[in-house]
Amino acid sequence: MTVAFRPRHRAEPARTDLAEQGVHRDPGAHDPIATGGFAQRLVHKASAVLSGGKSSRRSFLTRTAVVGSALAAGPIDFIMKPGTAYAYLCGTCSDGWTAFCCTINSGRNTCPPGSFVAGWWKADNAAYCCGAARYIIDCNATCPTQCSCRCAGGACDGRKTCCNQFRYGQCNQQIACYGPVVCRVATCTVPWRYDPACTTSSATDNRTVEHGAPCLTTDCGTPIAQKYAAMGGTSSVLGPPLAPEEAISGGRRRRYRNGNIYWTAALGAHEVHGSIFREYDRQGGFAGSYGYPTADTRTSSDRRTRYVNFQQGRIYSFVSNSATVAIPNPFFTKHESLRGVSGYLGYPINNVRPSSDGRSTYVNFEKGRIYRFDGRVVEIHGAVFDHHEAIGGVRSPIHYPVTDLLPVGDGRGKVQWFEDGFLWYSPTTGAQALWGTILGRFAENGHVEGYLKYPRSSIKAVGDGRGAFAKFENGDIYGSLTTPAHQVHGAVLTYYLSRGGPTGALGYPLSELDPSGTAGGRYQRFEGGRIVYRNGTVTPA
Amino acid sequence: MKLQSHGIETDLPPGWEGRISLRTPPGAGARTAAEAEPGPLGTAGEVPHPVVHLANFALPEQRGDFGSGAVDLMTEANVLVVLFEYGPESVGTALFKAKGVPTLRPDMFSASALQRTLPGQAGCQVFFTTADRAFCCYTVLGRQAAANRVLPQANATLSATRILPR
Repeated sequence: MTVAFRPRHRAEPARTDLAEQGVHRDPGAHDPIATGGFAQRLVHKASAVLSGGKSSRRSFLTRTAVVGSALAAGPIDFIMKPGTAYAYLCGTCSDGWTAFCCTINSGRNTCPPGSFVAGWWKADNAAYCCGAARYIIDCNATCPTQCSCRCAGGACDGRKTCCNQFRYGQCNQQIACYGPVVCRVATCTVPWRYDPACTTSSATDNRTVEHGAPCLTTDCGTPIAQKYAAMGGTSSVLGPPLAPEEAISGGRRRRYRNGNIYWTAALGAHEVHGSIFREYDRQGGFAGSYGYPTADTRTSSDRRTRYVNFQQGRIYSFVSNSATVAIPNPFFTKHESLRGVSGYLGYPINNVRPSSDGRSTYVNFEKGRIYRFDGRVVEIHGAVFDHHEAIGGVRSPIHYPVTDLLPVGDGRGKVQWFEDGFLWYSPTTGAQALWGTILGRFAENGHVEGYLKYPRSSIKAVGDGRGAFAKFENGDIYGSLTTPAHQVHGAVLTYYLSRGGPTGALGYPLSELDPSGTAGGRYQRFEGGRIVYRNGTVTPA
Repeated sequence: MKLQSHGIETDLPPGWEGRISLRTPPGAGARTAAEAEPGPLGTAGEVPHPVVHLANFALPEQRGDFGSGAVDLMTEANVLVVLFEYGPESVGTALFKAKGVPTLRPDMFSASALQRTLPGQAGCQVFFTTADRAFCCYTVLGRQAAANRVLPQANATLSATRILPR
């Protein structure tokens, strides 16, 4: 049914002074109650009396039938109005709201000719918009009004058109005069995008959330369409669609100006947009190493980043500069197992890189690194990472880490195993690397649980081209190309160092200090002679 | 009883009640658990402004900004006054050319000037600007015939309403 626009001929009351006082409704608009004829006032009054001020569907039908019957043979003026007498009665017997535009505008959910977008309100949590806000935009008749109050459809359940001379007022405020609401547009698009002549001043009427019409679909569409609508449609971060939804390997996709929404039966529909989307695209998108998104874009609890989880990893975008970092599995799962960005490693700072020796790939983090090599995925962080790098990293004598940093179990320090050595750490001694025969001696003597305790230095060259040493909390270990590594400690070490250490006359140690209780004192042999420790005194033996 | 909030203050006559409210903007967290509503509320970019509801009957808790839910309850002697504010961009437009909080007259009312037409009721919308703030004063009478009886109460309430600059 279309709106019957027709010129008005009725003489209108002089109400132009009202506009000066802010009353801008069209003074010439049809007012079936205030300016209508006797029959109309009679119908209205009778309905009002019968309604008692309230109405239900049953009472509504009952009273309209009564009044309708009473007027079936009523004044000729009444039945000559546009529409049927029954429909005319519907003007007072409907629910009091205006019809939707698709009902009266040939199915189009838009303002018909002779009307303008005059205002809007919203209803939250609308099923029509898949749980998002639904916007109702009023199309008011332009002045002078060219339509008459009537029922929009042939049934009494239909709503009215051109009856409610009411204006929400957020749109086209340069137009003061307005006629009655011709119809209502229902949309999930925010009004100020639907028509830039609307302001963002929000009005809410949640009681209208379920207003509908047969021509308005409540089908939220595909999961991708639902997701898009819930995000706000064209006003969302995705922007307008660029192409229809399409089938892709294992799922579906729709492309938008600022990102995509992907759907799979197992994962549902999730969006990826902005810098994260561009990085995802560089990584090959759903067909690349990351697979489909498993969640929408999220913001980290510290608000430093936005991120999207994928089947095979995560992509971060830093809020400060929009820089992105993509970490695929197994780096991502390893990082997450270490409490992710809240853990020892902090945020990733670059994508996966290959090592220069070709043996591994790795991801750098703010406070460490994760290596993947030889089937292992190992982290290294903090002072241990810094020291490993300082001694040459994977090209150092200890090469790649083969375990994560582990607690020693003494409540004090930590140790990390490497392919060819160890790195020990305690708060008071820092991180120190041991390898080769000196490490062997340290391990044989009980490592940190032995007399020496934690190393105070990594292995250092003596400088004579022969040997090396490492210093510990309670002594040293010396070794050379021609002599095994041995521990020297206590008063013997003091004496040894006072005699020039390994480059002095004594040279490198050839044995450990004899066990306590050895008859005649405790002896330790060196290349240049024997030293005896007896009654607190060290002397050449 | 005095009401004062969001730069609007009024003095309610005996038997009247009122609310001055401001809905939570989309994207803003609810200030208290009691204010939290399920699901998304509007869309980012919407700007709610203060809404005043004044009535000589008991206002229901759930009301549309223009009185939906309250008008259903009105009887013959009831009157509802809504002051709905718009954004500063509305100031100076043709729709809001009139100045000052209005004084209502019976000839301003029409049975069709209603958001939702209900039998016997009559409404009136006055768009105006005061203190550089744009408003619509929407008034609903339970019965148009009772205008002479109830409008003095409504006007007394409106005249006791002061709107301060933002």
